[in-house]
Amino acid sequence: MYADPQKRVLTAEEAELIREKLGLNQPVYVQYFKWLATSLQGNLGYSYKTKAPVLDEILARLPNTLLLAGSAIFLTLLLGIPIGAISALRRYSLVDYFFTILSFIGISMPGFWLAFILITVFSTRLGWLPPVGMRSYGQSLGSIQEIIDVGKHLVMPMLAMAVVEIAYWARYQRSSLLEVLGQDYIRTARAKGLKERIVVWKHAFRNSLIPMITLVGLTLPDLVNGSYIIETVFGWPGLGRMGVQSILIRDYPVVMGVTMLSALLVVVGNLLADFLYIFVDPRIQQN
Amino acid sequence: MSKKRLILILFLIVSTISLLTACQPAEVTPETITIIETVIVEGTPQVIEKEVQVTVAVTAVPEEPAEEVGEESDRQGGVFTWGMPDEFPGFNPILNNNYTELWLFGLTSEPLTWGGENYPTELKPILAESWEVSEDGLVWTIHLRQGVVWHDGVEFTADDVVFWANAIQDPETGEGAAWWRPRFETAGVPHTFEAVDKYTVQVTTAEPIPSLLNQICVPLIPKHYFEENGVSNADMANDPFNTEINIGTGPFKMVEYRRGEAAVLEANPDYWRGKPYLDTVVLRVIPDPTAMLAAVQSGEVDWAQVEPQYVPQLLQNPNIELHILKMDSFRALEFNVKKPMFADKRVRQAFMHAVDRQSVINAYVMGYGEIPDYPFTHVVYGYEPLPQYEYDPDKALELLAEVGWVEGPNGTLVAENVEGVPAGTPFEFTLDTPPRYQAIGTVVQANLADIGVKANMLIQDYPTWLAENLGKEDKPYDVVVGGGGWLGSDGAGYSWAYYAGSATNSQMSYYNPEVEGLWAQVTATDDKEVKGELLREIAVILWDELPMAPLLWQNWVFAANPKVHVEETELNPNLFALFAKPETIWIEK
Repeated sequence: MYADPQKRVLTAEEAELIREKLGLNQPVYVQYFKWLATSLQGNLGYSYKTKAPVLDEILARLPNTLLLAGSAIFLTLLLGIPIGAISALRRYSLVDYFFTILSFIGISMPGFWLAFILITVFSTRLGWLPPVGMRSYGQSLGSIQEIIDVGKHLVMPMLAMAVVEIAYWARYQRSSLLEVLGQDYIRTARAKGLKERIVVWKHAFRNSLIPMITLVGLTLPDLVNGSYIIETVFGWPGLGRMGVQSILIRDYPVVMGVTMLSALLVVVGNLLADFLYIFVDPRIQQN
Repeated sequence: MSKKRLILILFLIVSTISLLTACQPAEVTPETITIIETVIVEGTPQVIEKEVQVTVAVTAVPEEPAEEVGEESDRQGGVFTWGMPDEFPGFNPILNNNYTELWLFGLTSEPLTWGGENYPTELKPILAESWEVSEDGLVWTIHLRQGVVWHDGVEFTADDVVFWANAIQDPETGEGAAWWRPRFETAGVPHTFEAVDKYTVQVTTAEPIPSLLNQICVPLIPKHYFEENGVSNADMANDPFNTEINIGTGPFKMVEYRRGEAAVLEANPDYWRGKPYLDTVVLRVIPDPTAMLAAVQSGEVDWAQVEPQYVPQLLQNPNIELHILKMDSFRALEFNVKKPMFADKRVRQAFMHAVDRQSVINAYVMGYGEIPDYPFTHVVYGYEPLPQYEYDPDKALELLAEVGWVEGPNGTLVAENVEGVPAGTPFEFTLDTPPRYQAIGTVVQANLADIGVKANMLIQDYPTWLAENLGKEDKPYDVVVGGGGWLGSDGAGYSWAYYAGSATNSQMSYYNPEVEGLWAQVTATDDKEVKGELLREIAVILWDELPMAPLLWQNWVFAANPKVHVEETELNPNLFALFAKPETIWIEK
């Protein structure tokens, strides 16, 4: 607030009282363990700003962030892996060069810059897609229209988030598959007279996915971090935007809560990746 | 190529061109306007102005469109989307006083009267219909408007008023209420609020307070909600009434809040001034200024405050109408007058002459501001322009020379015989600048460098600054780029600056018994004329002594969908009552 009346109102004693009330006069480590103890019981404290429980604030926004990050991951898998595979199978062909150049453009493009370009082109100039928020308000829509409406809002932030990832994934998948294709057992398979289709898809491709799964685990927190910027630019009502806002106003309980959740997602992401190994690599299952 | 084919191609080209030109909207005419652009000269702290010719498309506005399409039945209905620059901290009006909620409360909730800093200057009856004061000025009888219902259908009565006042007075009620509490007591004694009958409230004060109704302008809350749900005052802040929804008596009622996304309000058909034209008001949260700009440009929101730097861009868009509002908000240099360097008023006056305030306005708000000619803002009673301090560096040097600052080696000023400053000390000080006022600080610094005064900018974010300066007896700072806003018309809002009882309480460490005496008289009267005269007397003194050097009065720019009809006169420079009559806003279909 411009004038910020609080700075004129609070006397030193009152400020001390509030510090006392919020427990801010205790040593940092005491505050930390207190926080940790209550957090483990599911109480992340109350937002300084809204006075609502931090858990409520987070749960209200988590689905929105998961929707955005989830669809971005889906798009990444959908495009990144096939592009990489095609590039590897048609190494040094025109298609390979084309995707290579495209990947380098994608990798070098900052997400927020792409976001602004998308907004300028598709919202401001063409008016096809809404530039901010997650849904339209004020008209009662049928359930199907509502899904379409959210989808329209989703397209640009999802693209802005996914493009860089797709580019990375395509590069990783390409080199991973190439490495596998150079292995002895592939030569053996070919020597056995197996059909090329089976050699590639059953033996090479499947094995090339193992390092990619590690990448899935690492991408999840990446997307959550990326959401800090992308959600702010697109006004997406998710955790990332809340994180940025609460850092700016020093809403510590919320900052702690969001950070904790990011950490949790890293763990969950890696755990998920470990489970996925089982499906791809039977050797792990046996052990 | 045969001749026939050539003719055919030619025909095709011509027809395509004519088709393309036909698509141009006929009413848009290009027009050249001159805007002043500020340019920061690379490598130097210098900021210069440049006149730039910009060609903009100006849409010809048909004469009197409002009369033609403005039939009552045509105005009914529609959704009005308002872009909010911040998430809502809460919805209980006695606990929140930040501008996003004030905008929401302006639609959903109502106080007894309009007055004080959040409302237009005239005291106006809202939920109170009339009132009288006893001879001794201690007992107020307030007659309430009858037949007003809360959004949930329960009638509004005197019991609600008593409950509301007691909740604010209760120290158990959350921190937000502390801001209002001093207005509900005098010298530590709370006013007594009593319900005489269903529609009459009696307020008894320990001392006569002529401006009582200007002070207790806080939107009301329904007693029945808190009683039925067993919400104690201490729990109010964490109750859903604050964190999710509210119930008021205003023209619109809250129906939904999606955390961080939007608050949806619907028309209150039983509103006492009449049913609103709009069906729905959506307050959409868009904290990022660029995202807000995109939302305005694509028509996603109908109304939003925009940063002045985007104005040239918006001027080129025929689908956007700009409303420029002279706000009750100012930026100023706050001097610490206890520091020997700034103890002499002539030094402060010299600063006013040395700083090119138009450049400050151009750099900070792209020209959307005014040069102040009064120590308060233009909304304060008794405002009349005072003799201006013109931009005149020579005059500034002259004044500084009188105090004892003379030109030393390499052009800097050094003290010769300045009281409290050792001879030979160069004129160098720290200019505390919050990041958002950096543009102001830069111009001030450059202007002062021109006269040989060195200002070292200290850019600190606000929480850090507060932690270092809050409530200190001896203020550590020299000069702060500060100011204030929404301080109201009766001068009460300026206490932190000018008459806080002692120098410690004043942001500027300023204390003048004469000013203090005049303030006491201002507070003692409720006559607007008398108040105005007294305030003007104070203003003359302050304008001469300048504990705070006003740099600019800020204008706010609102971008609007041209289909939205908001009477200009219904827009107020106050936060809460930005729209004086929200029920009369309507949208062309």
